[in-house]
Amino acid sequence: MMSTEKWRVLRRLAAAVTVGALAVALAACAPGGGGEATAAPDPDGSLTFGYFEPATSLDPQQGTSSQDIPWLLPVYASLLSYAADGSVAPGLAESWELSDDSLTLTLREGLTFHDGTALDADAVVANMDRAMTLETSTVKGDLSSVASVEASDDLTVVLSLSAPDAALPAKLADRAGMMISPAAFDDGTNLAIDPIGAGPWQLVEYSPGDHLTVERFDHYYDPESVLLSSLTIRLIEDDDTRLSAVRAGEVDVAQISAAQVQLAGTDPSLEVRTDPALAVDHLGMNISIAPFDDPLVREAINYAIDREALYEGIYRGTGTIAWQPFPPGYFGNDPSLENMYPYDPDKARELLAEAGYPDGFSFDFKTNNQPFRVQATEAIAGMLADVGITTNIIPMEGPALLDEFYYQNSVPIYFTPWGGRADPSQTLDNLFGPDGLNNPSKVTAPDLTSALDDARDGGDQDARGEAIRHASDLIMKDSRMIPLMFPGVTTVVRDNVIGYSTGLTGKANFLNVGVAATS
Amino acid sequence: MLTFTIRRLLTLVPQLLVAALVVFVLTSLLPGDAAIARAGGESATPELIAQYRAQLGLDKPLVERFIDFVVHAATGDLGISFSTSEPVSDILLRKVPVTLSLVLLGFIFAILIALPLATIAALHPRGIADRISLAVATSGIAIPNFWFAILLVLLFSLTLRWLPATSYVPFSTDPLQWFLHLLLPAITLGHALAAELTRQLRASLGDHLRRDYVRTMRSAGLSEISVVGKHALRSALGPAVTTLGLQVPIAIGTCVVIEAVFDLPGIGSQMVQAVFSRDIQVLQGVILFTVLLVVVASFLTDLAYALINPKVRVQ
Repeated sequence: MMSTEKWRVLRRLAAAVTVGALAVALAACAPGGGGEATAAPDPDGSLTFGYFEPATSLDPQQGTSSQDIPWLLPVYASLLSYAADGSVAPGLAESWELSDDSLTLTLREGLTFHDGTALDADAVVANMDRAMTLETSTVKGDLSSVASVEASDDLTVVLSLSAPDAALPAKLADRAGMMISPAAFDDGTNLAIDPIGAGPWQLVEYSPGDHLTVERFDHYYDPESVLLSSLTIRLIEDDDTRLSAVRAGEVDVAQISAAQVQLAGTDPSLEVRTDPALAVDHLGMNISIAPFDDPLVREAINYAIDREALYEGIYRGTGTIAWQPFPPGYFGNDPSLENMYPYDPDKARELLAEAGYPDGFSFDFKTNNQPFRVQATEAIAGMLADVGITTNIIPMEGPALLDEFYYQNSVPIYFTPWGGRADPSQTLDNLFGPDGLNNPSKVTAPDLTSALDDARDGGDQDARGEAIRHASDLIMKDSRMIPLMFPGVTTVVRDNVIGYSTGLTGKANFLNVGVAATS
Repeated sequence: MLTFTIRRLLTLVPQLLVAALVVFVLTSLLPGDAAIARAGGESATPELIAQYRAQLGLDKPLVERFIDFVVHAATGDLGISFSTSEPVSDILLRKVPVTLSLVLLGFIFAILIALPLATIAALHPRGIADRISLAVATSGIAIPNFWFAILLVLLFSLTLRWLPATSYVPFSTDPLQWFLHLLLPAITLGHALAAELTRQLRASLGDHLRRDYVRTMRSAGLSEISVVGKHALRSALGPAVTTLGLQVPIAIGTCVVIEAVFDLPGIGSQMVQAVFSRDIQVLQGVILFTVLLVVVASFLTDLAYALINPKVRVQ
């Protein structure tokens, strides 16, 4: 046992250490902490962003992954853009007018691309033609309602529509609206690695699978929003390495996983923030495979899942529990669906018995082998086992799993992070529509199909919101979806960075972001 | 020596051909369709998949693709990346120097650790130095590389802030920064490689120190430095050189992990990216290159062995 004398010394030592640590912490806060609101951004400032996935291509019309967007946003400006609440705002076009059979865009005056080519109505027509005709175009689908595109004068472009498409402006604020210099696609530039757009920054250096460095473009249409003189995006695939790079000051902003929030929070020079986003983690299903073709079985699974436990244990208290396709606060969210399937294992067992599985059943629960997804799958498997559904977890590599789910129709159900889409109709059509790419069963119901049509065809935001809520009701009533969580986007930001937040699209964008001048 | 070199060089050709066949078959057998992966996986449309299948030549018979691959590879044309349309040789040119720098420095560290440890240990068997050398060697094998690397980053980058935690600077840009950025990765690699080398060298040197010729030299009054450094060590180096040669493939494999932890843009991380995006063309190029590296390393090992020990040349 320790003598009282020793205790006293120890306590004094501890007190001294605490005071010392406090002093250091205060000293560290003094310039940065209070400075965030007042410090002016450095006009020559540069920022490094750490991202976890490589771009499949820097040609916006040929890239195949939604994870390309953060790599594209610095270089390319879109015809329209998103406001903070996810609604559509002006972009290269200062105004637009949508009717049932056309969309008319009016461009800003005097726009140019990075290579000096004029960005006029002809350039937009050339881009649209390429997007709709190129054999390997990945934005063709977004523009399927467009019948033809014409320039009626230098600044006016008219897109004639073959069917009403209320989602078109949102799509033109996304990848489909990103304008490429027509000179570049005419002269055979490899846009996959040599991008030329009209975005806020222009290419300095791109090393695929490593980093992208861009510098301020002086003729961007909204120069006030470009606070950074240069921006570097670094690919750092490993979660721990990415956080180390931020902690070592080699990276200023990076997205991290929920499991890292606690560790990142211990570093006083870092801000950890979770911004809401449209992404939704759910159990993707092929509802043509028995027994998941039975709504009672799907309903039982909805009741069997303890979302609170997932929120605490797997998501470490970040994000928002999901009861439907769209998050609270978004115009397509239906408050009446919240808490529709509260955790109730007894009810789940009853429903299984009613469906003819009193002793449950078993299936191969395949999952992407990323650690987080395996963890989530294991947690869900435990909850299913509790109601009698036993599973055999099989971790697989991403491409192999997708091949089996989407094309071989041999995976009934798996943990799916859906990245969200610019327009809610894109999410609904893809996941639940009769031709939905992400609905491998292609099974739907007549009332749901017409609800999806209503949502797509339009009217104003209120009318569309009504239609989307109706579609969500139908989807959840039949348990066509087993929603789990809106994970949001968790980001660590160093204290020299001013004004960073992630928008609803969940994609990092560095307009209006600066770094404090180092004195 | 010349005939030995030529004879040995000629055996490289069939080795590489067999390697090319194995590489080609293995990468072609990967589950998950390259055309689907290229067309976007989750959001791929059937027509886009078909388009890419034709464009990437995946609709041709396997044998035809293999012959194409070998004929083009022989002329140095490794094809075009499925995902970025960049020539694979350009990608290799960019990424190979990173991995080669790491492997080279790793081996230098391995030798710097192993040579003194093994020599002192062999001179004082079962002494303190011997035990320390055993401990270092065991830790090199027993501690997982990624964990050792994370510990190094935690201490030297995040706590002491002496060294960078991630990324790479080319030698041509700034030799000092090149060295500093590679220091922790190279120590990680060297620590792993030193293990076997230390044990091998210690055993071999201990064996030579007990031989008659060493006793004769000592009794003739030669200095200890001359006996150990000039004679015994040289004779004992043979097996150690073989060990070094055998460790080249291990070093390249270890690079995959080390490059991920330190975010180095080398061929290890390229290989992982190529697997996930099913960029088979890049994957084949990278693996073929590492095979070439290993084959050349084993050739150089034989050559070095023949230089140290002339008896080998006449076998």
